[in-house]
Amino acid sequence: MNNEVLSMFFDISLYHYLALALVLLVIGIFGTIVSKDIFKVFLSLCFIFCAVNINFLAFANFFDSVKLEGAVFSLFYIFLNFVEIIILVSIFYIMFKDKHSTDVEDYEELKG
Amino acid sequence: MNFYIDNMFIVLLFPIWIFALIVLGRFFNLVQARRLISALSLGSLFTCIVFLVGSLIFIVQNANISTDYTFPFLKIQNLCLNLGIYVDKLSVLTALFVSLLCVFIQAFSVKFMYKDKSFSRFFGYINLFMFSIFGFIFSANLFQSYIFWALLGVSAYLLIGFWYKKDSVSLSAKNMLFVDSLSNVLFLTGLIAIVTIIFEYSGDYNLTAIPFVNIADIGDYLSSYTNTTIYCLICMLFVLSAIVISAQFPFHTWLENLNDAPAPVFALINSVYVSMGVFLLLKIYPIVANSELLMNLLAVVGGCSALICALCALCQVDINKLLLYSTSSQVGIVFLALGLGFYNAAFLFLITFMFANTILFLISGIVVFSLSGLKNIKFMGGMRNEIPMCAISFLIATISILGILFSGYFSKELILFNAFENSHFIYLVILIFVSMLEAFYLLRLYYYVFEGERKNSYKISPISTILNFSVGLLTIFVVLIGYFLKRPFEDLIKTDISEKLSIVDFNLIFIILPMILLVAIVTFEWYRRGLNKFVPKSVSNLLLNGFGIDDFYEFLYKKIYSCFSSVCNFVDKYIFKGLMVVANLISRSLSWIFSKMQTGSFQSYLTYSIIVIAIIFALLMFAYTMIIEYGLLGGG
Repeated sequence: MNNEVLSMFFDISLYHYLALALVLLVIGIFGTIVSKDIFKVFLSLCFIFCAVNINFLAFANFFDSVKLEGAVFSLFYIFLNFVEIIILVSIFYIMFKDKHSTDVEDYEELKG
Repeated sequence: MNFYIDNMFIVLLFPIWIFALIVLGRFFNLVQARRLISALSLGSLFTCIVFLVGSLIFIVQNANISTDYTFPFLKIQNLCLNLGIYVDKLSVLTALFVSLLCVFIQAFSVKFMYKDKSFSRFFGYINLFMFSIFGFIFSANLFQSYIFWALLGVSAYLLIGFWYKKDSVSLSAKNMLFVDSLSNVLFLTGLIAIVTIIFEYSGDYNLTAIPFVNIADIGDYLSSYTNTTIYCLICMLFVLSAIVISAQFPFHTWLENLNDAPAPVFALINSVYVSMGVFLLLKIYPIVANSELLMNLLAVVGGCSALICALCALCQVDINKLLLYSTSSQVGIVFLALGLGFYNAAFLFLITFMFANTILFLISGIVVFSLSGLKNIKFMGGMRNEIPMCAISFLIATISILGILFSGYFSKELILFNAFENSHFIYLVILIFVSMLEAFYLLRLYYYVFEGERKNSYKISPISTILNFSVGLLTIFVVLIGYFLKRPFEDLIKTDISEKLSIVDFNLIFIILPMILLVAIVTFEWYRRGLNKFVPKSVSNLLLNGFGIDDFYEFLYKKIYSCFSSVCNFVDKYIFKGLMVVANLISRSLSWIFSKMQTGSFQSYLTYSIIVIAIIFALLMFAYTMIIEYGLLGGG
């Protein structure tokens, strides 16, 4: 293998990061829609958050000379994620007290 | 300028104030005293008369000036609609005669309606009627005229349907209101058309409200800028509206279908309300007179209704119906005179006819009242011995209407003489023939009611002296007022069109009076010998039904209108309803789909939102590609 092909795989460019983030996003969305278990849904949500965070950091690395703003923002975002997940879990805890089930399909009160 | 003219709006304010007082009084049970109400009403009328006489004297002394006081009522950009009062000789004279008449009618109805439970309601309606009459007479422009024209119809409807608990009364009132709304629609259409044309051609925003101050200018504008057909059509709307109100052929049936209204209401409707159509024509005379066709139309309509209604009146046996036909016939003569261009003579004739006609109706009310509701004149007779005063008054009023003597003499002679002078011979023949017919049926009515043996066994109810007194006073008034109505008024209408009216110099009455007397003698003989058996039954039935015009309207309604409405019904039922069914189906199926989409699981909602976001992104990317490709951003 010549250098060009090697560098295509091992010189990590912006597009590698973006591809990784895209894969994570698609996995996350897919998991969110398809999963039956509520905790799997939460986990898939975390995939999406993760993909967004990677985008932040990648763009910060490649375009920001100070390389600080993206990192700071991603830290802020991680903190926000924690809060969100905590809220989601506590809401789910309240709902769980009614039905005693972790299956998403049991929670269909919004059905028209 | 002058105290009376400056405060002319009081004439308008008094009646509406009393109306409000009576209505509120009925509502709060405050003013129910009959004496108080009648005193207030009559007092306000006397005040009105004082103001009208004062302003008339001022107007005559100051070279027949006219004034208008207006305030802006509605402002739309440059167009400003004013309300206010416009005082000139014509309006003051008309208002004066109307209010004089109403004094007698109200004094009559104080006694006539005294035992009625809704006495105060009656006076409230009469005052509302007075308010709309005065508002119409003194209106400053055609818009205000329209407002009061509509109000006039409503108040007349209230008066006619006063004894609304009888079915026939409420039916005839409804009939009247329907015909009146026809005239309102015609008036409004004409108003809109005339405003549009003036707005388009003159660009003068002061003219678009159509004030009566420069009605002559408006007529000139219209005639010079529009073509003749459109001009005629527009003015014809006003003329038709006046024809409907004045109960002229072929719209006269609403008047003849009135029955069972109180006698003062009959008098008011037949003298005042009917003459408002003529007043409208006099007001817009400068516009109407520009067109030869319209004048011919007026003359033809007047001649037709005079002839037809006089013929119909020949065979009537109902006392009220005969007099109602007589009213239509008389107003027809007024229209004929207007159409021939003798507006002054027409005005004079209208005034004298108003007074005499009021007497006839009040006396017919007394007769019907004293015979406890009997209306068929064939069963009356010999009333002269019971109510001699009324018999004399009736005869005097008849003679005045026929134009043999008293106040009616001058105006009728003026019309006949000028028709002769200007060689309108066909109309002259019609006029003489109609006068003969009038003499025939009015004297027949007099003979049937007052002369001969009594043909019934009803006990005559005693007539109060006040009724006799007011009728007698009105009769004296009719005799005396001839002095003021001897010659035409000067400067009645400000117009460039000169009236072809010449003062009578040889007495045509020498020709006409013998004819009328001849007819009277023939009538008397006919009555005495009972020769009416020789008239074919079919002819008398035709005349009794008023040439079947009412039946014709009924046929129109029952056959043609119901055919039309069944077609409309079909369209409505199948076409529009079908459209509705399709719309219903579409919306129901759509909503079914959307309701199935609401699964309740948040994952499906998430899917929808992701799909929508993907579509939006795709569209955005497509748009950007197009922009970059074809440089839609300019220079890109």
